[in-house]
Amino acid sequence: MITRIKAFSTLILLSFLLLTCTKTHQKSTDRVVVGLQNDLETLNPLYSMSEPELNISELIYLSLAGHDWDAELGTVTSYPLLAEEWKWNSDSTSVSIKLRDDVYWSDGKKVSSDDVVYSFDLYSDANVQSRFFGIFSNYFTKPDLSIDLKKSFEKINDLELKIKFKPQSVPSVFDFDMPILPKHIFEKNDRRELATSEINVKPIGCGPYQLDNWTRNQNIRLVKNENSFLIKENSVKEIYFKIVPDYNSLLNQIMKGEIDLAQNIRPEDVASLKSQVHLQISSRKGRSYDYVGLNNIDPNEFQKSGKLSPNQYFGNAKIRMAVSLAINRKSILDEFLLGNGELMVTPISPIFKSEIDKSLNPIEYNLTKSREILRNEGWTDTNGDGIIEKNGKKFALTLNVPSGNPLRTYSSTIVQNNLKAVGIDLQIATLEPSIFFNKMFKKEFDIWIAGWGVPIPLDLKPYWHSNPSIGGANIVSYTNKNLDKILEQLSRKVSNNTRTELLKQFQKIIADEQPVSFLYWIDTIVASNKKIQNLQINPLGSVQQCWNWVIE
Amino acid sequence: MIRKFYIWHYVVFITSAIFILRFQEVLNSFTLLYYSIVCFFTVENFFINYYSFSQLDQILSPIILFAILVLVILKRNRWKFLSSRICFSNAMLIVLIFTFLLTPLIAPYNPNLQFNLSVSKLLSPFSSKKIGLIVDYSDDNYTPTKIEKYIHFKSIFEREVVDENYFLADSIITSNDINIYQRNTEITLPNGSNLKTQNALFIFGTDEFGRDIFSRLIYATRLSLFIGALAVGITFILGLILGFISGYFSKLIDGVLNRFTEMLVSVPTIFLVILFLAMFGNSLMVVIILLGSAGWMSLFKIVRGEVISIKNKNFITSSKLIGMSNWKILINDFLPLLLPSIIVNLVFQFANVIIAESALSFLGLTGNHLYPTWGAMIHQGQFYLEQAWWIVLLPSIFLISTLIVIYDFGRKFELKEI
Amino acid sequence: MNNSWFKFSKRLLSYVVTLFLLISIIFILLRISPGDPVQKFISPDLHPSVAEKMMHEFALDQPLFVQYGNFIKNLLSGELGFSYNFRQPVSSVIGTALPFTLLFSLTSLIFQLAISISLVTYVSKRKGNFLDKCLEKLSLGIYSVPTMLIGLMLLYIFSMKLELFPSSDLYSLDYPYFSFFEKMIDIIWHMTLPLITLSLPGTLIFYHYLKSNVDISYRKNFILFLIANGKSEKEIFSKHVLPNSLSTLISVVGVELGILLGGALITETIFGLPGMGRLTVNAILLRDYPLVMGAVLISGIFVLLSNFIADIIKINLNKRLKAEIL
Repeated sequence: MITRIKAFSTLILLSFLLLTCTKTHQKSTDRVVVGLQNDLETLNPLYSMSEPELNISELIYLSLAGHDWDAELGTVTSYPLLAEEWKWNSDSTSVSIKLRDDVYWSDGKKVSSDDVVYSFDLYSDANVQSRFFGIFSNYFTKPDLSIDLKKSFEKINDLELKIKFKPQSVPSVFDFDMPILPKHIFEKNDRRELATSEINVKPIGCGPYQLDNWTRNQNIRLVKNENSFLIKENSVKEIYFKIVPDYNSLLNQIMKGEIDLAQNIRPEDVASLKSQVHLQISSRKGRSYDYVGLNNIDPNEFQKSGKLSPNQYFGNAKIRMAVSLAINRKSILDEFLLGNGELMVTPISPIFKSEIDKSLNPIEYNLTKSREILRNEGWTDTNGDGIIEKNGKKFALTLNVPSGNPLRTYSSTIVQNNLKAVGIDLQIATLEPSIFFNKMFKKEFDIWIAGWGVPIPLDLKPYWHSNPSIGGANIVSYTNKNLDKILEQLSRKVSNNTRTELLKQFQKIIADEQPVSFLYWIDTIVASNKKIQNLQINPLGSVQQCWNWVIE
Repeated sequence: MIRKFYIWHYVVFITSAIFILRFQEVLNSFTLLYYSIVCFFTVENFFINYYSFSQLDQILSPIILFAILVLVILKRNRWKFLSSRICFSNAMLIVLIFTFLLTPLIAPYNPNLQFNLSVSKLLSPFSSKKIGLIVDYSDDNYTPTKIEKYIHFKSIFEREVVDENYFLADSIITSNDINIYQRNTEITLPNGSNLKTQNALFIFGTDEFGRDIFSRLIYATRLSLFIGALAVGITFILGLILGFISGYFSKLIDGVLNRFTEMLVSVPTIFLVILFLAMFGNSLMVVIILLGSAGWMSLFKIVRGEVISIKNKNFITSSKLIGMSNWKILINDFLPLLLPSIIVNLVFQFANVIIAESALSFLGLTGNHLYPTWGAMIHQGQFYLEQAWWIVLLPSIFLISTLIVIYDFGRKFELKEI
Repeated sequence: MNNSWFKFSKRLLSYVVTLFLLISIIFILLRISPGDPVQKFISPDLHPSVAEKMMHEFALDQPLFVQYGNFIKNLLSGELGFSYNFRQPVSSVIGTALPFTLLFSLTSLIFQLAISISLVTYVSKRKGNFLDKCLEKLSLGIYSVPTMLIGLMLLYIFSMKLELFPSSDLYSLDYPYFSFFEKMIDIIWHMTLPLITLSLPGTLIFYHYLKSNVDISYRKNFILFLIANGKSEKEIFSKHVLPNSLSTLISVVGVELGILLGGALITETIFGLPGMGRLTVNAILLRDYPLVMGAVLISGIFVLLSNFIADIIKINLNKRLKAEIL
């Protein structure tokens, strides 16, 4: 009997404790919790590549310049950050930069122009293999693509320096807006081993926030750096990145107010989130898109001999147009994205308001027209099995889709069913990303669904130039000499009017020839707690300029 | 009353229910059979050009239905199983057998048929809609050829896509004009178009692609059971042969094989399966072979143990002296003795394979097959748990009850009740 | 005594050989499987040579046998290499997941054993009572529910609908500010649903095994003799029946523990827990070769170790088995 009473009382005690602990959330008021779905790899700006990595390293390491988005014009504007000011010379081949006098590394050393030169040295060093390696084409470079420091930089004093660019180059702020690294810390490491050094997890920066604690796969806590010039009295004290891999629980925690800011909300959850009083839903207009890749060249021939012979299905622009006509992209936009996106016309995003040609319209869903084109090209169904043939060859292919992306999986089913309606038979193959992208870059597929993000500022050359060494991302091997010329002209110094004209021509060619079948622009949906003020959500990101955040 | 309700009553009840509910489809199947026989004699290369497994399936299923009915009524007193009392696992087993054999007949739609999303997305169970079919009667005098008729009937069964002539609507009003209402939008068809309307009942609702879940479930049952059965077959062959080799031949082979099994047991099987899926791709055959070859270790141990214990018995030695080949000795002498324990093992292995397949699909690691499996349906539905619980619930119920049936039978075999 | 030490070391040696074979095969499988560890370094934003450099850095451009030789050499000196994706030594990456898995699986195992043993104790004292019948009928039904469905069901009911328990994670956000006692409560609160998910099927298996063993033991002669001698039922059960039945359970427990320590993949995935299972699968999917090798090695060691410990316990319980097992 006594044991029973004991057991019973323990049970009551336990349940009581459980109940109380659900209520012991002592919510810290001066904190913003950002939900992430994946842990970061590194906090070292040399190697950070994913968006959250960039966001966080931007808070820890300052750059010379920061960027703002001008929504009216659809362009990027820059403002000085670590630099107090910069001045271009008359023909804009060199820039004089003056650093702020009041910035210190978190170990107390002052930020100097040596750090700036050293940072660019590291970024361009072939031994370091940073994410910026090879892009310093506007600088004077050595044969191994690293920057020739003597020719490019001129140190004036500890706070002033001059960067000289190659003649004939078209430099811009984007050529020197990389995060600046502390020379005295990075110097201690062998350059070859930087990728695995302690700095990746224990950064020493000069930014408005500093790393307090990083528990792998759990959370990252940043605390405000009181000495930073960006920090005001009411800036948020703590920014807490919480890693929640499971989407449903992420959603749950936003609802409950445990997470204050999360991106990549699925469209179907917007309605229920909007009904929460404390939440605000905003969307970042499309900077990324999905497309149906139609290989312009024969993959087998390319694997065998590297020769570019036209694909027997999609080598013909008319067939590609027929495919585009048969895909009901609007139904994906309406039913999966629930309108959080835009039908796509060309790879120039609608956010670039001054560059997009508004006179072009997205391709209408039209089965009759599509069937007609296919019939005219000789593809007809002769044996009644619902699949069209030409010269005894069935239009039957495997549609490759990377796994783990619900939108693409959804689209693949829709595309499969849509194309079936015009007699094209697709089998869906879901491949895990590491295999999918490997094969995609090797051009092994006939047809696939993938996506691209659009860089800011606009850069079209890598995606559409037919020369493989320039157009590394032109995976369909789309070849059009006129387009190549336009792209080359665009990268030279041209007046604004010529530029608009060239872009117009570009869009016309792409829309007519459909190198791939463009699907839609995807808006990134951001849910945030209304208590955060000064939140800037625009195509550049949502976790940006956090030093301006204030909690009500 | 219930005491007198035997299994054969139950089977007859189900067959007649299917016959009544799917009368139109049975009729269509027979028409298809008629036209395919006619075409076979009149059209050249008919089978090569026009025939596929799904048609055969469609034509065979009503025949199987009648065959079952006749067989059960004739043999009801001969076969003990048929005149035993009904219980949950028996009833469920029969349902499973029916769905496996008569899949195309039971499923009202093609499992991949996607209705127009604007109406059909995530419908709750028991929602009823209208189907409209615009029929083209433009030339009245035109008489279709046999082959065209065949293709017409075939297309009724194989309808996989919704095009502009076949659509779902919330309601259709035909007075003077034809008005079609689809989620707050109204479409008026031009005069002169011929519209056939049908009712469509989605008993178990639809998924996010607007596909009928009931049909998908029926096809998923077939595919899941098929994967399980084939994988168990592979397990059986591997376990039996390797176990026999290990137990019957030299110590060296025995040692090597033992070490090998120990190694396989020492790493959680799921990691190996994932690794192999990454290597060979995730097509259906690969999944089956992998699941089959992931589970032979326990059977191997059983077979090996029993072979060692009986290999020195007299009748084996005499078979050897007669000069029987090793293969024959395995089949004739060992297998009959081993069979009871093998069957018990395989029945449980069947359950394991089904669980493993659904777990892999749940994690999203198996590829897209032509038809879904239970696990794939659960995987797909977990993202819609809040809005559409029915996508997960129904395959789960089927999965669980199948496992209950298997375990129940496994236990009965173990206790030698059957 | 000497003889048994000899057999003991022979057994250990065979374990080492098994492990060696295992990692060799996994090593080769990984290298010949398609997929590229440096895939994420191929993108239009990056210079093409970055990927090549990374290949070189990871020593993936060397012939297979050289890579293998290096791997074995490192392994012998106790190094598991660097994880490609974490940019950290493999040992420290595993170090973040292993404590959780150890804690989680051991707690779960203790729960499974405690609950099943106490249930059997309760039931065998009162044969044919309500609970006995209930368990008899229900155990099969519950056992037939795959782990993922248990997890999804619990998640849906207790987390989404009733909002009693958190749906994921190991601790709350304010965890670092909690006192020790609150920390404990917090972890328990977070672990309740995952523990139930993980423990339920195992509990039923153990219950099933024990129950049938107990039933068999009761039919044995010496027990009948003891009953006839008029010993108290309680004493017979706790001193004779239960120990007798437990010994056969132990090898089942050993296997179960080994599997648990390899990571409870499904439970971890559903509840977003940072354990070995997810770590391993993610490493396989991302082709993080060194991490896969490390994780497989660790889980292999645990499986063999737990089998071995189970054997030793069995020997201690029953000396007669010694010759048979060793």
